[in-house]
Amino acid sequence: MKGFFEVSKFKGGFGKIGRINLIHKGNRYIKTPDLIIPVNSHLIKDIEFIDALKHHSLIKFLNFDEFGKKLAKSPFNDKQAWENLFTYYGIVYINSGSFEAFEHELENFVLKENFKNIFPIIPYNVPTTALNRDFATKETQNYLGKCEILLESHKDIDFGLSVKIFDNFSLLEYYIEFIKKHENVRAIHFSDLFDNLKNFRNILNTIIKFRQSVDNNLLYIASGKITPVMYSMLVYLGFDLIDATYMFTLARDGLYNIDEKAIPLRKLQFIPCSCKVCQSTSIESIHNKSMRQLEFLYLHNILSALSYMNKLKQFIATEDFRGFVEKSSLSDSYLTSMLRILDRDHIEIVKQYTPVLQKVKKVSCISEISNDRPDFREFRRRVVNNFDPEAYTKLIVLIPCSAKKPYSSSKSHKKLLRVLRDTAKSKFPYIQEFVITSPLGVVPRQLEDVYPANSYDISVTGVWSEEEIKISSNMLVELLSNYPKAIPIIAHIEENYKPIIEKAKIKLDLNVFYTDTSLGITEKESLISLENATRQFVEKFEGPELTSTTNTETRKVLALIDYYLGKGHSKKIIKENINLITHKNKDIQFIRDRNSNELIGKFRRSTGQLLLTTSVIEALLPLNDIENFVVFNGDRINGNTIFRQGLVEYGRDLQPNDLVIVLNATKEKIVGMGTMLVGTEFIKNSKTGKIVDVYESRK
Amino acid sequence: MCMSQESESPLISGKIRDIRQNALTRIKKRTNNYDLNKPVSFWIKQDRLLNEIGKELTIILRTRGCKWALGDSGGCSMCGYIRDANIENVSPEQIINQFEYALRNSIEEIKNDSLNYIVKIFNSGSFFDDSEMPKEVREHIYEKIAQIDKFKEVVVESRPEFVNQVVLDELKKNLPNKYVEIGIGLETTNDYIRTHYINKGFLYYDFKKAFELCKANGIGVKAYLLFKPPFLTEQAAIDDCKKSIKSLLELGVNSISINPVNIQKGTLVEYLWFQNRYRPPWLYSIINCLSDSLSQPKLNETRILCDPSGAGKNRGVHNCSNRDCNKESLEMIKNFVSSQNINELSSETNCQCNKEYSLFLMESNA
Repeated sequence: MKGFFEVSKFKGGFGKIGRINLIHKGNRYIKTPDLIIPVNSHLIKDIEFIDALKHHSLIKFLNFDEFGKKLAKSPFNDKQAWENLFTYYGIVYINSGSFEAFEHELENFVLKENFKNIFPIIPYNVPTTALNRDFATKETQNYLGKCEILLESHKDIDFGLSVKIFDNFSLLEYYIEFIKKHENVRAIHFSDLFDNLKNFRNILNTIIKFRQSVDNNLLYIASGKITPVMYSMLVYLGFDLIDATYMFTLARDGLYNIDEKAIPLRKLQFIPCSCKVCQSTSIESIHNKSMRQLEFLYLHNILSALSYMNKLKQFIATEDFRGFVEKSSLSDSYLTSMLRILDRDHIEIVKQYTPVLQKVKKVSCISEISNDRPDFREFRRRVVNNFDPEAYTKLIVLIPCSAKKPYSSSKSHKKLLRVLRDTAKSKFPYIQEFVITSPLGVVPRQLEDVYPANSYDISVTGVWSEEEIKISSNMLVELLSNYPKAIPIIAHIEENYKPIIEKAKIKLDLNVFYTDTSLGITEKESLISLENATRQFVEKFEGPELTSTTNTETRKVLALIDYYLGKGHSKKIIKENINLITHKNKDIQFIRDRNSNELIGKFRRSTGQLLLTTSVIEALLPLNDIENFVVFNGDRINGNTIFRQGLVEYGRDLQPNDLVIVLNATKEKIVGMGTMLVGTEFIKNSKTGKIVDVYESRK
Repeated sequence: MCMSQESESPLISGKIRDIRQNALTRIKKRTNNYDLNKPVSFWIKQDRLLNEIGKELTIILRTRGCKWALGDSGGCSMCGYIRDANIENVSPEQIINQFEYALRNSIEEIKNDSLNYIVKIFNSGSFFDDSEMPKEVREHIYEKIAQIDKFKEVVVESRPEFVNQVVLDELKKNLPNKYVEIGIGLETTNDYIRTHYINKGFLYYDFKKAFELCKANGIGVKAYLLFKPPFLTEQAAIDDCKKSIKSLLELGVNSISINPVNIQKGTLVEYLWFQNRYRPPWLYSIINCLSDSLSQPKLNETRILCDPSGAGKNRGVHNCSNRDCNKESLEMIKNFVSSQNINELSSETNCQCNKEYSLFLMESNA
């Protein structure tokens, strides 16, 4: 069966950009995430409402029969206009009535007319509520029984399946088993999952359960009591489409949507919105009893919902989407809790959907919620597990972070580096710098160009929270425990950083020397203090000889390779010093062996992405303890993409944007190099989809 | 005749029973000063007879109460009429006195009226249930009705299991010159809804058997349809009612009475309504349902009735809180029923809430 829905890219959490194969107005696809806007025979006559939808792609019809009859009496009754309307949009068909009425319309209109742009979703409207658990279970079994008959009799049609929970999460098993059994269920429509956000733990468990159990190429749709402030969280949780019907319910209840909440129209004293309808009226007019308030409200509510969704789409396309999710979740305590619990309790699965790097200029950390971002946690984990201490390190210097990234481009770090280089001279490689920072913990100098170290931004107040201190000190302990105790440590930091080191000292017996930074880190007196401290230790340095892989660029590339492939693997690849040559496209640097000029790979500065060539990766065979691999069912890759059907085996812990080695079916040969488009968890539960973006394949 | 086995519904009936028990316990705590020699209520008002506009004399008798409601099942999910029942036995004499009381206080008006009458004897249970309405009571009532020429039509109500040849023979023997209709609370032709959401206790099959028997004996059948049972969305209610009307028209019932749910005390529907999990239907839905499912030729064969209780109030079928809006819609329905002319029905009204209603229909939990 042709793919109904395709994932294009994961963008943080379970959030993704995708596309639905639904032909409309000359296009083949509808991009997700997006809203579904309901239309009925009253709304279709509202010119302003139709105008508001002119840039939108996806609408919902509830009742073709009623719609058709009303249209037949209206100016729209010529066949061409009717067809234009139906072909202009992608259409989701789901009714609010009985199952039998849905079936009837499906047979007698949707399938009969053979429209290519209509996607039916089997409704689960009755019962509207459940008396108790047994009632809900019995009703759901009855509903699924009817669905079974419908799906079996239309095996060649793609359907969506409505899932109703009735606050009874034990029902999940029935739905999951059912979906797995029916390949023509291509979308899951959760109709009441978000009606009570107090159940945020159960909501999260539900989503995780589905993610782990059913095909990851299914479209996720949410409807019910959903307001714009929830949209980003829902998309972050993996929902591709959100039904905007609730905006009409708010209008019916006299509520005006301001993104953070909906307020009664009678309370409106200022017009906070610049949408068309709001700008064409005044506060006095709004409160005038003769005004058509209902039309004003639903038009504004829909326009504000569309605007919010467009903002979300912009963020997910080009900006830090996770930052946007954090910001909007702070508007609601349950959303905040949901995000925190998702980060803390479900990190193992969420991280597998979260890209390890992204290209953004600034990743804003606006609250403690940012500490547990999956990409930040993954960075910290990789630093601790994969950073391989250089055998020749004789001195460790702890320094504070800088506002400008990467750190070495900042004025403060330039001054610090100047002192260290001028003091150590040819012995500079003996010094290992660690940057202490929140929320990334501790960043080795060699990894300052890797996402997110190269782009995070946090407000510096001089006050560290307990959690921040804990993160940094724990990392410090982990990293420093890999060094011999005798290695001295210079801490050139402000007073407020001291608790981090003192806390680390409780767990490790550290030999720390604090410089005098009372006047400021980069003040002359402080720099002299650093210089004196450094000289004092450098003078005592004695062998081993510095090897041929100790220049700054080489140290950086070695650390990068280990960061992406695992500790110790870089040394198999890099034997000599390398050069980093900046391409005319200043974002790319070529990594070449200094002696032979062999191309080892490329480094992308904006993201910290490393792309190694197939020939250097040969040195890693056999891949004993490397998880960054996929096994392809052939000896030659055609094209630039490996699809799910072409995979035989894959690493256990792959994440989107990870560097990946493509092996042939016998695992003896490397047939290509690529970056992951999805993670291991996605692959486990998928039969189709794009998996690897191949940047080099062997001919 | 026995009820089909599959009509049991333990899931809903337990809750109904609990709610009813609580309600009845509260009633018993009050002093019950029912005068068992007077009916619950009686009235005269305009009504649609088979082929003319006339008047109705409706008498609500107080009996022991509906057997189904008093039984283990707990009764129907929307019915609170058991609150008007005596629960304890009411003697045949007392029931006869109730009937006589109502007749005595109405007969003058009836005699002086130029219009013909339909007399409706309701006991909020089954007229043919001997344990509720003994045979001697029925025969007395028949005798009195037969004597009054103005009474052209007679309506009684019964569950289908009590409709048998014996009771029909009684009717034919005692009321040979009257058109008799037996009202049966079918509620819907959908067995699942009737069983699991209304807890009615019989199947469509049982209704059809009773109908066929009546038809063979020249007795009319009026099917009551419940508009918007609990657990249905507004649109699902419209879908269900339309389908039921279509099926009943094909079957050839004599009358169909559409009864929108009104929230009665001590019922499951009231329990849900208190929790905002149920909203009584809109008048617009009734009008839409009727205009979409009927045609003038069909109206010439089957009488359609609709006289909602509590209409226009929060507990009854209503549009918005605007009195004039509800009045306008009710007038429309009333005119339609009186004239049986489909052109009386129009979904367009002057009220702004018409648009609200169209938005309401979009919701899947409405």
